[in-house]
Amino acid sequence: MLKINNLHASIEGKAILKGINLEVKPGEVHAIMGPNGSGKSTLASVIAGREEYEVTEGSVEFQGKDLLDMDPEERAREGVFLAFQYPIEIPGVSTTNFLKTALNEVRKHRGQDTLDAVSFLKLMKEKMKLVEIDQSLLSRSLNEGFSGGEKKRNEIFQMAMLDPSLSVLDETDSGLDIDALRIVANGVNMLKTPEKATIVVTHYQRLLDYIVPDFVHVLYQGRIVKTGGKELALQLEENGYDWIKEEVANA
Amino acid sequence: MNKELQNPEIEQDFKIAFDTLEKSIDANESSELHLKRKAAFDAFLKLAIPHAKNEEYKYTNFRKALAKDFSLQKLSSKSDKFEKSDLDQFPCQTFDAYKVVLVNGVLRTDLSSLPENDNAITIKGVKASGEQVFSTLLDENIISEPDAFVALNTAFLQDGVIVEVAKNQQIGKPVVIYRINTGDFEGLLTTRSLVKLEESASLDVIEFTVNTKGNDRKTFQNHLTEVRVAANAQLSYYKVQDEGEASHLVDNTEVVQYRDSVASIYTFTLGGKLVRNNLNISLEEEHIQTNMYGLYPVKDKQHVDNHTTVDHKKAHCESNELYKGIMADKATAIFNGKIYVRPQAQKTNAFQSNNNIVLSDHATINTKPQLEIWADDVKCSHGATTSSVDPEQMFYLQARGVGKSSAQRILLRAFAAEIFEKVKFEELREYLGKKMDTLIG
Ligand SMILES: Nc1ncnc2c1ncn2[C@@H]1O[C@H](COP(=O)(O)OP(=O)(O)OP(=O)(O)O)[C@@H](O)[C@H]1O
Ligand SMILES: [Mg+2]
Repeated sequence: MLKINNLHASIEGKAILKGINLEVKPGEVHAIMGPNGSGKSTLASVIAGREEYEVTEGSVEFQGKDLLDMDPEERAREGVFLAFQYPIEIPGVSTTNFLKTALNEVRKHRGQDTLDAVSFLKLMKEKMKLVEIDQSLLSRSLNEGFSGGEKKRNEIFQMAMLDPSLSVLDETDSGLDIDALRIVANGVNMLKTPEKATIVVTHYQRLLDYIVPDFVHVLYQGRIVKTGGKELALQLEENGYDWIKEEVANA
Repeated sequence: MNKELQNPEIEQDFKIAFDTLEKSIDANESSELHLKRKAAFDAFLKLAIPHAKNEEYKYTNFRKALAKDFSLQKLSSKSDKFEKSDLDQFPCQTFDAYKVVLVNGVLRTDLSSLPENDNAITIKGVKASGEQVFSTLLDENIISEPDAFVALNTAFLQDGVIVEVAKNQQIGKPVVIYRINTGDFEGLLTTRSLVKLEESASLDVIEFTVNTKGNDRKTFQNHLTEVRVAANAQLSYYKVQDEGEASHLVDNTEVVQYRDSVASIYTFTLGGKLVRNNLNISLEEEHIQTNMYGLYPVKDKQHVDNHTTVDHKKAHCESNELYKGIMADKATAIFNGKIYVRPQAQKTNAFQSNNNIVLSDHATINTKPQLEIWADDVKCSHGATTSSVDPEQMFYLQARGVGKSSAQRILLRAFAAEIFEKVKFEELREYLGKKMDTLIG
């Protein structure tokens, strides 16, 4: 589904990603962990198509198509979804308000009928239950005055609405209390199908108890320096990153 | 005439037009009407069309604009070609409203729907009201500093509309005024309106300054609206300017308010090559509230200049001013907001802000707050911002599948929402929103 090959990316002339290789197959869950500033969000942003990042080398293929060649909206329509680490505020724009446009543009692209107001509302109600989100929140200005948990639940709600085939969750668990974490993780799990894949970026093993990964990757200094199964996450939780940093230094 | 002026032929052209008008409408040299007109024209000649060195018109050079093959000698007069079905091209046709149709400056009662024998509200033409209207009612409310365009309006006044609401009368349906330019001529178009609310009256006015479809004639329009809001009266006045690509417009609005009254003046500038708005509001007594809202989404080489003055003369009044601009292509916008707080005007609250979104590197905005405060116990604030559409917000929406232009539309609608949500009439709100959307390809 997703093939990242020797990906190099920089921002303002500063190299951040220095040769990422990653393959994600349908049905798989990949966890990406790593110390602060190692490039996890940069990778997520490059996948989603943020223009500030310049890809200097390498390729990203998504379902056989060149992802890097597409505008961010095309990627979303093709089925890529990014849950932001820090979802921004948009005063004067509610989730309901832009999501109808978004969903219909996505559906058009996928050859589906556009939804009228009634069917849109029906779908919304259904997906709202999934993340236990209130309609009043969705008609408020996006993320303005939302709690941390509300912001993250709103991201997962949008994911549920847009029905992507590849979801990238960038620290969707950070700062959540256990109830909110459970809600978010349940939402993600209920959306899982054998055709869909998920990349979760996280600092905490805790999330991985709920969303069980097939692979755990450690991203450090712009490279994936270690890959393992879910036990690697436990190991990292226990011992931190120093041993990995040492391995890298001695390599 | 001032000999140092460039292009003195501009005033010459106006002189020829003025003489023609005088001959056509008033044979009696000593009538009051004639004298008033003549005095106004003399005043105009002394003031002259402002040039770039005039501080008030620094960024809007009318001498330059009018010097370019304008046929100012011609006067508007033809209005008879315009028929009822021609009205369909303009918004708010289905409104339950009193309708006032001015075609090329002439009131067309056949196309208007005016109240009849109504004790609450009267609407009549300036011309039909006769000479005494001219010399008594009009001009009484002119509060601005001497201004060439105000003088010019009086000198060339032919017709217009007078709306009066009687004491204690709440008028349930709005008055919709269409000032239509049909482009049957190239030249000068003048109208005068007077809106007068007696004590505790209330009224909504929606005024469209529009031209007929496909009309790209060069016209120079110079309108003047006098508004008088008596004690405890409430007025909302929506000005919608949607002129053609070659139209030059000066829109003067003079508002006088008395104790406990509330006036909200909205100015939407959607079209026109060059538009200058002079909005002057005088707060004569205490406990008055004034709201001034403006929105100018502009593109191409449009030039929009909003000059506002609110004069706090007495204590305990409040004025709120919010003007928002969206500028694409090579458009230019000017905002100048004057707030005067006189020594007696203690406990004044006066707030002003001007926010702009610039969509192109070639668009220009000049914004200047001008606060002159002589009282000490007051709350005044002003702020101005200019920015582009937030790229982070754009990316967020795009990452959800929203295309670039839809995303921009959504964000611009949000930017304007603060003003739109104050517009009481849904149909008007929708019309404005759609107009704004067309700014983006
Ligand atoms: N806009 C930017 N301008 C300059 N440097 C940036 C920018 N965005 C990110 N960086 C730098 O790129 C590096 C990688 O940042 P990134 O956000 O990808 O890290 P991360 O692994 O997601 O960290 P965290 O765990 O703290 O979220 C950091 O050194 C960061 O300072
Ligand atoms: Mg990050």
